[in-house]
Amino acid sequence: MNRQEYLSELESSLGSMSYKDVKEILGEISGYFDEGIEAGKTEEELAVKLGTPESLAKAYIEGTALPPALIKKAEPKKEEKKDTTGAALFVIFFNLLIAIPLWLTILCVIFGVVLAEAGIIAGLVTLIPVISGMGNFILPGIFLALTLLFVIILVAVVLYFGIKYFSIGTKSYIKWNKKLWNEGF
Amino acid sequence: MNSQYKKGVLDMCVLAILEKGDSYGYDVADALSGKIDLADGTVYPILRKLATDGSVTTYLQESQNGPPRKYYHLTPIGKNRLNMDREEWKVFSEAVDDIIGGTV
Repeated sequence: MNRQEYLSELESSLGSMSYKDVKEILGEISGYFDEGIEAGKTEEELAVKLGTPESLAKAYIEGTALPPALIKKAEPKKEEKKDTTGAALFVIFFNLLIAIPLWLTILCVIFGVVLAEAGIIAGLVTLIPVISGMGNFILPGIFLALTLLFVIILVAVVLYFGIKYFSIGTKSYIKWNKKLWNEGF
Repeated sequence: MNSQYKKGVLDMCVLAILEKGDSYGYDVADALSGKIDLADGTVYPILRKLATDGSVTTYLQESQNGPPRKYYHLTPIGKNRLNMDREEWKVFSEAVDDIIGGTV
């Protein structure tokens, strides 16, 4: 094996090391060849004296690894019993005084809007058969019907998003409450 | 010779060689393999490890012909370690000699 073959085998055996380390190591071993050749030895002789590239790479990799004593043992997770009384009291009073009234208010508003929507739809449904018999008022009648339709769609969209975010908000609020109750602040 | 024996004491031997004066890889390998039967490559990973743990420092110095050489210099940390290893080795080797019946 000549110098070039030795170095390339060493390089591939060092595989897992960083580019910087590999470059330095190849420089060190290359230096060995330089010295040896100057001392009158052949590349083949020197490659034999070095030992196989695989065993050299193995020694480098083992030398780089930290000795077992230096590897910090993972600290056992502290099972500290945290005092959650404060958090629990906070959860109770916050819910009683603010969250539940607020939640009920929003629920009532949504319910009200649903009722209003139903009322408008009912109005439109009763309006439609009446329009044809309106005579001179047929144009304002159609205009009114279209306006009502537009309002119905608008309210429906608002309701859709309102209910969606209301339920998402409720879910995450309950989750936050549970976490606070179990783990404290 | 059992390579496990060598492994344990080679660090100490390399430190001892550097105690006599700064040296470069080829020279250290030559000094060691002249006395102990081992591959010249063995010293390079040891030198690298010693440089990483602070026992030696390195510097480059021009050589008359050819590229600059990487020299290794023993630090106070390395010297301390060498002295401790030496003490331990003395006690250990004397005990082993005693057990196997060699001459001390």
